[in-house]
Amino acid sequence: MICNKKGRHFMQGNIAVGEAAIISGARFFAGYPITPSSEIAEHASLNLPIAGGTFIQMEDEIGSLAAVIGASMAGVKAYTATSGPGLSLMNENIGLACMVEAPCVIVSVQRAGPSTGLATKPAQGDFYQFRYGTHGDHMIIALSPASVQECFDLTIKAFNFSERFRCPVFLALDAIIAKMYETVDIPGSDEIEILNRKIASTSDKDYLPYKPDENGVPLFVPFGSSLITRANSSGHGIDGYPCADDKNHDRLVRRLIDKIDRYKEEIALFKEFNISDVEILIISYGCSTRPALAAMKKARKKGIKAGVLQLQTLWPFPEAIVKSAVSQAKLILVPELSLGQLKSEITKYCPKKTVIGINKLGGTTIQPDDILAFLSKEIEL
Amino acid sequence: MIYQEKDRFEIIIGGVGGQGNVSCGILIGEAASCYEDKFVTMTYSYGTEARGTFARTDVLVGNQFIDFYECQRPDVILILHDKAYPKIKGKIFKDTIVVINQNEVKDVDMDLGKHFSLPLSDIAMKIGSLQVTNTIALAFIVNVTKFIDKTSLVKAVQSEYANGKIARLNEKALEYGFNLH
Repeated sequence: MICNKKGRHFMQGNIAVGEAAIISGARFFAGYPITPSSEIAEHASLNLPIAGGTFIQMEDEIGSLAAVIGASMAGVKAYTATSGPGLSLMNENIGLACMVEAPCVIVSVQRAGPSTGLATKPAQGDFYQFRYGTHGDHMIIALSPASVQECFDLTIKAFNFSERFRCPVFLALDAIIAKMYETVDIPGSDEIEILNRKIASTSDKDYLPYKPDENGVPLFVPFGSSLITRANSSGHGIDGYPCADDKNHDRLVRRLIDKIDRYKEEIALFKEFNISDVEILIISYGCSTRPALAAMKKARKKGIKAGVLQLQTLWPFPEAIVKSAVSQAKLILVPELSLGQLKSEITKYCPKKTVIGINKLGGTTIQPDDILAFLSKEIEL
Repeated sequence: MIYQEKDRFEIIIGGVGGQGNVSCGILIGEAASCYEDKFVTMTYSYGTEARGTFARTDVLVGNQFIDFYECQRPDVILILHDKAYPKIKGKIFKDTIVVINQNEVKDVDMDLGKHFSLPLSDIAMKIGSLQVTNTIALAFIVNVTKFIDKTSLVKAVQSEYANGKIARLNEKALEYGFNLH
């Protein structure tokens, strides 16, 4: 397996994620291998020990994320990889990671569900699971690549966001992009921006583990250092001790959301294709972006003003980007391998527009012609 | 047809799990990406079993980013197993080159596409291992179409199988494949 080699490669999406994780500085992986994400665990098992890191295959996904949170609170960049059935088990600890503000990256490769579904087949049915899987009010960041190059680039971003905001970040993959092999350019480590969590000075004798800085993010102290720190899943004060006070809980939960929400424009990553004169806008993410781009090109050749908005950030939902892109469009098409989860979110922000979902289940891909068929039908009308 | 001037070159490899369908695609991808500055996208589908069920690999080689990852109009279809032919047959166009492993695939329509039946398994056994069947086929395809340079494929094979017995077998497989036509 490749590790940390600058230059041109022909690489699998899952492997590009693993490479980027190590370049980001991740040195801990705990997981329970599951198709279609298993290569990420395999890559970590081979390459993390060489990089001075640790790989643990855990007993299940609950334990996996618990171990990742533990490593993160000890000051090590940590990640795990799973798929829908495993993510369902991780939900309890996703809430824990939000509450104790443990930076970590959770890669989840979507496959056809519900339950074990079709193990080797792709889907995009976990869009809302990323956002609302764990209970209680919280905010989450989820990024979704549509090529192997983006698998690499967005994994770096995912680690950076998790460190900056001290929160779990999802890399929301799908089985097509994760298993796909593609030409990819790995930049040199000096060309990649790597962010690390802000650490409190050991001379800070008044250190309080949950006292937010001006951005709403507390300074970090690793467990085992000379300063005492605490991590508490229950409502806690800025000292980290349990606190059931109503005003404190209100303040805590609002801060956990606000520290991400106030930077949502910076977090909103996207790509636009032929948007300037667009009449028919295709909005997509992940694998469905690829047939969308092919359909757009075919439509343009026929003189139809089609464009594509690719959402790389799924959560916080990039509503400003969507609102701006749809403003002049007459029709919005949303191809996705689910029965309309992304469509439902888009409709919230443009209730007066005609939004048509192109939905596919069964573990097969959306074809460019599936999109073109809708497009041509609407033009005739 | 002059394949090296085409904007896009599409290959479907059909067989069953364990025959090296994906390895074959990786060799094409490495040869074209790393030694020719081309863009390659490869997807594959397979069953939950480790071996023995239908597997299909789509490889698309182009000069720019490839939007859609499934072959729409394959230039070449390689069939390594009987189970694959009926499932991929519908993708054969008039000018598609169809390469068949005649030792494994019996029921074929010779009139579909530009047909080549080759005793790939027999040749592989002669070289010393059935494992190199895919490399022989690939060398044949590169020699017939020239969609990438032979030397790029040789370099990719050398890089993928760095040394030992497997490397020597694959080297021989290339030699046989290049001389089949």
